[in-house]
Amino acid sequence: MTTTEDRLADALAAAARAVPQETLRPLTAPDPRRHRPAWLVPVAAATAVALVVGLAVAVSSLLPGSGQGAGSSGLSGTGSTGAPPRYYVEADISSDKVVVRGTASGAVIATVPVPVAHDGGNPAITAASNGTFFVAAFARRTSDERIYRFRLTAAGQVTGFAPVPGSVLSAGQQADALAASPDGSQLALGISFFVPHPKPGKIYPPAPPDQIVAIDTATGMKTVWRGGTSTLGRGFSVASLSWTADGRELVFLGQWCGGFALSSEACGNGRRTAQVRTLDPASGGGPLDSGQLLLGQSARLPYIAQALISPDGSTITAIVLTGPVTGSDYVSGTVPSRVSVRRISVATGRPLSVLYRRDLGSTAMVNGVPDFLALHADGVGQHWMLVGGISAGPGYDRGFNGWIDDGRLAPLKPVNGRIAAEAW
Amino acid sequence: MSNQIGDAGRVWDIGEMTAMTDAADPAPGRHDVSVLFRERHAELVRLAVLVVGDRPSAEDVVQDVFARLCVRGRLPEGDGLLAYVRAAVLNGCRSALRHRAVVRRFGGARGFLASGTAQVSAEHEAILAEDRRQVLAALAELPRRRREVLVLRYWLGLPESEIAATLGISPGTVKSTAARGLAALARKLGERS
Repeated sequence: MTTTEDRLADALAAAARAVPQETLRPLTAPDPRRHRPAWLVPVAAATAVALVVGLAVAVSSLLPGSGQGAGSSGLSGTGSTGAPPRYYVEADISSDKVVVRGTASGAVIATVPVPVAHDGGNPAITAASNGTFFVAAFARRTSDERIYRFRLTAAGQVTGFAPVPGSVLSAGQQADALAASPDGSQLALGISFFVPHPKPGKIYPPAPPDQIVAIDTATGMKTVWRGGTSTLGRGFSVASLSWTADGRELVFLGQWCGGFALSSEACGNGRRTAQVRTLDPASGGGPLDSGQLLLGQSARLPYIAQALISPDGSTITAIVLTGPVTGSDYVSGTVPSRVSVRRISVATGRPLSVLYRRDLGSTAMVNGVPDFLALHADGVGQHWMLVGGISAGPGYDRGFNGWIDDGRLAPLKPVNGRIAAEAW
Repeated sequence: MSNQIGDAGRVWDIGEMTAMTDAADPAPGRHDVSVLFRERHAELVRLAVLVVGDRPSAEDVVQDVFARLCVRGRLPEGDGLLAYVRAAVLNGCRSALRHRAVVRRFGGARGFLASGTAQVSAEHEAILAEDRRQVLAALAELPRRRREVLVLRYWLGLPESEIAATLGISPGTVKSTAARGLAALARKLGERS
């Protein structure tokens, strides 16, 4: 059976082929006397009557896992000790809800009362090692994103749900990356920018580079790091954030022309690269290059998708993409086809072990390959959760979601990667 | 021919179109219009067909966009012009669909829109297999933004950043809209999920 995406691409291509260029009727020459700013009228009208996208469609059942999990052969280091956390929190794009699930059963234990806006960006979720969870979500009826926190009881129920003081982001800002300090007293956000109320048809300048903001979760005071990224190119974004156990180092993975678009057009023919750097939370902010460079893109690490510091600061656990870029009949590939999760020494930059690896195959988006890869550690950096993409919707089975258990990916439900964010 | 423009019996070629736009306003970006027309006219009509659902309306939309380009003052340059024109074509499609909705509300053109899907030509009927017609009919029933995102992504193959720029929404919204659109499409097609 073909997938929804394959069927859609095929149908669109066939419909387009049914409009041969040679049969198009000539254009009618405009009358030069009708020079008036009539363009603005339909644009304004189109804005005024723009349709509201309805509620997300509930999906009744889930696809099985892809079964592509790698075996233990060639892998070293388990990356996990003991049983994983009993519960995890996720945002599922099929329901637009943030829920608590049991790790073993996948059953929904509780719903987190986050007032998620259906037409906003997907929520971001993180957890501190003291059991506090944080969710960034666009509130209903506003275009502003804010942060909420809560804890889970021993039975997985939500308690203490409340907005974080001072956490409403300015209009046009969105928290893409999120990381809480181990004690939950600081929350770091990777902030990206967008036009909150764009006028249809108007072309806007490229968004400014991402910033990093740390919020004191008790007082709402903010520390901001911005700038210092232009020497390495354009299109800077913060891909991941993490803290050392003592809370003295905030570590970020910055990507230039990164994301899941290898095509140079995505950032003005810029060069794709990545760095893992530190920031000093006590510094009061400053440029993003004010800290130490821990790791950079190299021939050995040609595409770093995620990078998290260990609690003791000695190692980085990273998602690395390698190998050929394989496309489909319709669309060229977007990223290298082999994904691995590796532990890398901060002192030497050398890989210490490979926790997991997997072949993505064709990475053309039309084939539903993940358009993001996310790595989450539990509060003590012992158990790793790996998520592959949200674009693998119903009808496609290449998304994945699980925790790394001795070189294999133990499935977490839903297993087909339709989740937008999760944490434990 | 697609490389011509005509008016009440007079057909203009693309060189004349360029000369006319140059004479009207030498602002930056205007020289690119003729190149864009020559290289992208068919693509833009196809984009409009996929969004608005029928070829006559699609050709009207693109005609209107190029007519406006010819008399407009400042235009984006380089790649920005293509994004600008794509956005303008999608705006035109919205206007056409809105007009249809008004007509339908008041009982007009009932037969034309009886199936809830767009009119297709005999040529379309011949080329499109039943499965493809089913997919396109399901696509036509999706909310406007979802339909636009899916067409830009799965036909033009645009990256999220370009879709976001074309539609004036954030990349995150592109992702979630595409995923929801696919989910809805799968449900309409009765696929196992």
